[in-house]
Amino acid sequence: MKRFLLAFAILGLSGCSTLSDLNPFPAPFDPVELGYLADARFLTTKVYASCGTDDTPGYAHGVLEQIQRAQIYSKYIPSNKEVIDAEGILIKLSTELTTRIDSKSYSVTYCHLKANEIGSALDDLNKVLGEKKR
Amino acid sequence: MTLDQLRTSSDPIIKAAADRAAQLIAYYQAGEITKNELDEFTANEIDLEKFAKDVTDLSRKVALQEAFDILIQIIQIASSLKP
Repeated sequence: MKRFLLAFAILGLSGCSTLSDLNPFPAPFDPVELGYLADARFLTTKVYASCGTDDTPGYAHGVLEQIQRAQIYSKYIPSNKEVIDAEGILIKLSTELTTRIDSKSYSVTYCHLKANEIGSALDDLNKVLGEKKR
Repeated sequence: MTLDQLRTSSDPIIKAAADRAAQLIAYYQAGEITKNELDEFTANEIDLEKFAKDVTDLSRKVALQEAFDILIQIIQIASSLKP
């Protein structure tokens, strides 16, 4: 019986040690919120690469919709006003781009600058969210 | 503080904003974007200043505000010159 208890204790302790190595568990940030915004960041690279082609409207609307989804999700997270406001600014920037693209009155340079602007703002926000505690 | 100094900032948000400003001025001077487009991007930088201050901790807010104020002034001066 003593041997069994000793073996059980050793297994239990090593199990705890293994769990503590899973760093960090669970993730300190909200993976859904960050996931939406990371997808939007990926799509800005597709907007940049496709500027001036038939694919641009689809990607640009994709960025806008993904940030809108993120903002709806963020509204359900308590004490999250700064992130919701930041997403509001990103929605404004993305809407400016989609409006110009939809009216077919944009240059490739404008599209590149706008995609860069939205992308770097998303980088800033994602870095902050990645370090934010749930 | 000059644009080049801001572009070498150790703060990634300030560095990215300074790079954007330099790019905007270069494209405007080359005639690749219009005055209206430059004004739109300048207004966006004012929004992005608020954005940066919202999402960063208190210790960086003052530095961010100073850097963005300088950058916006630089873009506004550049926009007052003909390309």
